[in-house]
Amino acid sequence: MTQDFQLSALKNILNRFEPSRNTLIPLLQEVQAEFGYIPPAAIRPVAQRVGIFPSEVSGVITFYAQFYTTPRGRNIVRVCRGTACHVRGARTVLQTVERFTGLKDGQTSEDMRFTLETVACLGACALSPVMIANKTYYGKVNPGRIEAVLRNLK
Amino acid sequence: MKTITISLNGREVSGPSGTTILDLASQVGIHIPTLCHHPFLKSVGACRVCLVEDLKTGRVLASCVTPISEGMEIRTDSPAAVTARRGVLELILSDHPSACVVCSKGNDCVLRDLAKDHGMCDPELDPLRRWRPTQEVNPFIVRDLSKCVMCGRCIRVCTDFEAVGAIDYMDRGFDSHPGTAYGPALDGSECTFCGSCVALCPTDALAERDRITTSSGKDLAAGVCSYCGTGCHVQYELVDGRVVGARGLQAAPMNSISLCVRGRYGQDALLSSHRLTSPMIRRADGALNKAPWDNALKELATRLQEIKQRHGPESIGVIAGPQCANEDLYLAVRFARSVLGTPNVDTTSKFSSRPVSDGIAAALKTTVAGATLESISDAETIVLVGARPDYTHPVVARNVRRAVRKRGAALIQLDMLRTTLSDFATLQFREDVEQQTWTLFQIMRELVATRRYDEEFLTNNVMAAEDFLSSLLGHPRAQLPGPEVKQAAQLLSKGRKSVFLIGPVVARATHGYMLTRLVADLAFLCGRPDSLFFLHEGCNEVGTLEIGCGPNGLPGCASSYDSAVLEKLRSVWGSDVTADRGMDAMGMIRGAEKRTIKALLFLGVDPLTVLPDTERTQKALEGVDLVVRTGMFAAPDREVAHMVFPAAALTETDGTYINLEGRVQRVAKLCNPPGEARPHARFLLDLSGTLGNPLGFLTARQIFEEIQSLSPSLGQVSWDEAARPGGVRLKQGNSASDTQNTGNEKTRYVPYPAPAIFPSRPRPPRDLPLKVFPEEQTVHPGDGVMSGMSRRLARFAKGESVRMHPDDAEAIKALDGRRVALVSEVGEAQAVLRVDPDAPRGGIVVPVGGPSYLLQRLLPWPEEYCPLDWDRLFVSVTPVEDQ
Repeated sequence: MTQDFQLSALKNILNRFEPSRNTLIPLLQEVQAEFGYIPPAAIRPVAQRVGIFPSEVSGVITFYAQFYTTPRGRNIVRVCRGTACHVRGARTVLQTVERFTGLKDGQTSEDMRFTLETVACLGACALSPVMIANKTYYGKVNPGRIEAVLRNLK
Repeated sequence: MKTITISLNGREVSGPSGTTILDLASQVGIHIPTLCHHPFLKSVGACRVCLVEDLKTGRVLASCVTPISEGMEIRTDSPAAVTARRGVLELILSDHPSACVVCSKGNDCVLRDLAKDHGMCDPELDPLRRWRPTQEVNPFIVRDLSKCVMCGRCIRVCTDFEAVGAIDYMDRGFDSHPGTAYGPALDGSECTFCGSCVALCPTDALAERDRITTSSGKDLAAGVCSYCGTGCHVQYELVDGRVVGARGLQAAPMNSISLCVRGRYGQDALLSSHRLTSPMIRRADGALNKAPWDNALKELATRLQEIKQRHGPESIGVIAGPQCANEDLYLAVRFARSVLGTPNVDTTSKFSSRPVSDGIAAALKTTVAGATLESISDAETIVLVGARPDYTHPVVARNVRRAVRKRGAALIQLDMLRTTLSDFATLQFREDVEQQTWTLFQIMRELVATRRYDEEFLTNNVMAAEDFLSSLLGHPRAQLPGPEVKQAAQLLSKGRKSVFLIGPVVARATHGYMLTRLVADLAFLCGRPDSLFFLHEGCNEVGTLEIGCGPNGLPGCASSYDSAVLEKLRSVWGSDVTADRGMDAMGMIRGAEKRTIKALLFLGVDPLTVLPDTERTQKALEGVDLVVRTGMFAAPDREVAHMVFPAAALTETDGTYINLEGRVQRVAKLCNPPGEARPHARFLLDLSGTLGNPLGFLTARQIFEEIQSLSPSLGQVSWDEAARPGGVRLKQGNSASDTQNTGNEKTRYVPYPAPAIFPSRPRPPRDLPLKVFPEEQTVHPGDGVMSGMSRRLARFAKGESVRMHPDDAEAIKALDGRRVALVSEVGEAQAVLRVDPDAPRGGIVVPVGGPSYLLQRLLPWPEEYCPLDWDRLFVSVTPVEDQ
């Protein structure tokens, strides 16, 4: 049932794009926005739509860090590990998040509540140490604040 | 085009704009080292080994991707260029294992060559190695990514040349590597295992698995592949007189550097331990014992003479296989019709070709396609009628895919089954042969009604064109065309380069002849009769037609009633010729059952692998006084012969073969046959000698020259030229069946008026509700005898399975992966079931050919004088209880 539903959603997206290889990346972004990740089953239909081979689609997906082929959590927590954050205790930030979520870098919790990622630099060094939860920046964080933020994410 | 002049190493050279520096340099004989570049692939400048310096700007450029521009001053050997190149090599070598001594690539390694030329050994850079285990996932390819230099040749050949697109670069940066869409394994991806990536890999990152030797074959000898009718040119790698590998050749027109999984990896069958090495005679206790040739021939001659004296020559039959060379086939006819004096001579190729070759001969008055297989790559619309080249003729399928992917060609598929080419299809009519006749009619009618057909061609070249057109337009059952028919007609409009491929499915259908004629009609309407191809399965099936190896043909003509030909045959053969109409292959088996046939000689045919109704055939053959077969392989579990003679393979004898586009290709003997095996032709000559009737041929060339003196088409083929890659093409309008040609161009093409009543789908009998859909297997082409002896192909096939739609499987409570029993009118067979939503409803998909010959056990004998009828095969399927 879910499979059929997904397929029809995928078809809707495919039909919105021109059948040209130039539309591949926007199309993949749209697929990811719909499903939260790019389901492997979508690779072949996408390839057929834009007129390239499935392996070429996979090549693009694996090249870009922005594309995911496994389902991701409802809340995406990114911890900055840039130089400025590092000297101001990013390691403790990461340890705190790891302890709270039980996850390592790149993992997603089984209940799909969290996905934990680290980032080389978020470009907000003045606020270091920085963490992002979903689309919100949290600057100058400390363990207590981190746990408060995470507790509120369901 | 504008000509541009540059200075290259101090010389003034010029070329048309767009030429790359590298191409221009190679044209004028200046060597630039390369690694990722390959003349057949689009250059991408991946490796940067081909760096050269432009003295004018001081820039260092990758010569394989830089087009020449006016005033360039290129040096290939300037200090800057050499330093840069050495730097690039240093970087490549720094993450490459220094294991050349134990690497099987040996002297064929491009990287090692480059290192040697630049005097480089272990890199001074701190190595940053990617130690990865070697991967042996499939039976054909070993992958060692630690040796990969990321040149992308494998990816480009797969995507651009083979148009398969199974692999591309995955991941990024130092982790990037060639990979498939869904994971590391090629199994389960689109990969066809053509092996072109292995052939083009410059290092040992991709290598052939299970070669019998680790050394690279230093001796290359030209030959032809015997697995299908494409007749690909193969460069056989020889070590110590044994075939150890196979490569394509750029200069070969039909396959170029491509081969398929059979051609490249299936040649290990030649070295199989099941090869017959000595004649075998069945003794009174039923066991087959080895015997020396002389004794065996003497015994055979005595027994044949006895039978001839007691029952007359008509009680003897000769049946040859489509893998036999022209010389073998010709001798079979001469041996039967003059030495034995029997008209009963035929080939088994009829089983897989007759309705179609008859249809083509009647419509086009030729056995030979006018266009080449290469032209398929340039087609704009390709129509596949019951043709599954992806399974039967993989190199032809490559051309189809290339046309679709690279030229944007439209692919129209008329086939009950989904095949791998369905992913490329613009339109797919998933229909039975009966429905296909109706669809073709509707497409033709639409073409004529919308005046999109080639009117000029029709009036100038087609007999009674007016009547034909009115049979379409005035047809009483005409209906308004559906959108798919309309689209098909649009894609086949006049002026488009359309190509038509008919496959073996049509040849096995009740209405195969009618369907063939309708496809020919469609080709006439498109003005492209030359582009009609029949995908012959046997590697010399066209040869059987050209030689006239049949019950009612003679060498050099289509009809045994041509008195002029008879006269000529008498003078050439120096004996009387039995010109009667004989029995066809099936007729002889019927004769065996009725006990009128007393002796049967099978040349290169393993009878139970091709004849229908195994049980009945076996019983019929057991009643024959003398069954003799020549063959390459022992088959103890299905041996019915009283005497078995070991035969040489195609690579082990001189001979000529004709591929499906009419190329006569000569293969010279490359190596010795195993043990005492002899060529079929030698066997026939020795046997006639023992019978007191020496034919006096010493070489294959002498036999070929005698064929030439009789056959107008082969008469124009030069023995020397036929040995070139691609051989010599028979000229259309000259082949055997053209003798009926009246010479009037206007009547050359004969249309087939639309039938008043179209055939309808046969109804299944009540107790056998499921229709059988035969499906060819890539790894077991034709009778599957030779491929069954290839260890790698057999391992890849992973056992046979039949496929059913989930609804049908549920109805009989059969489970995926469990065994089911198939019962037909005549026989029973068991196989593993795969439940597959792609399988057609109301039927069961059964593999054609080996290794267990399921279809042969289920298929009833055809009606007298009718071809095998796979359309009327119905079965009941029940799950088998586990013991």
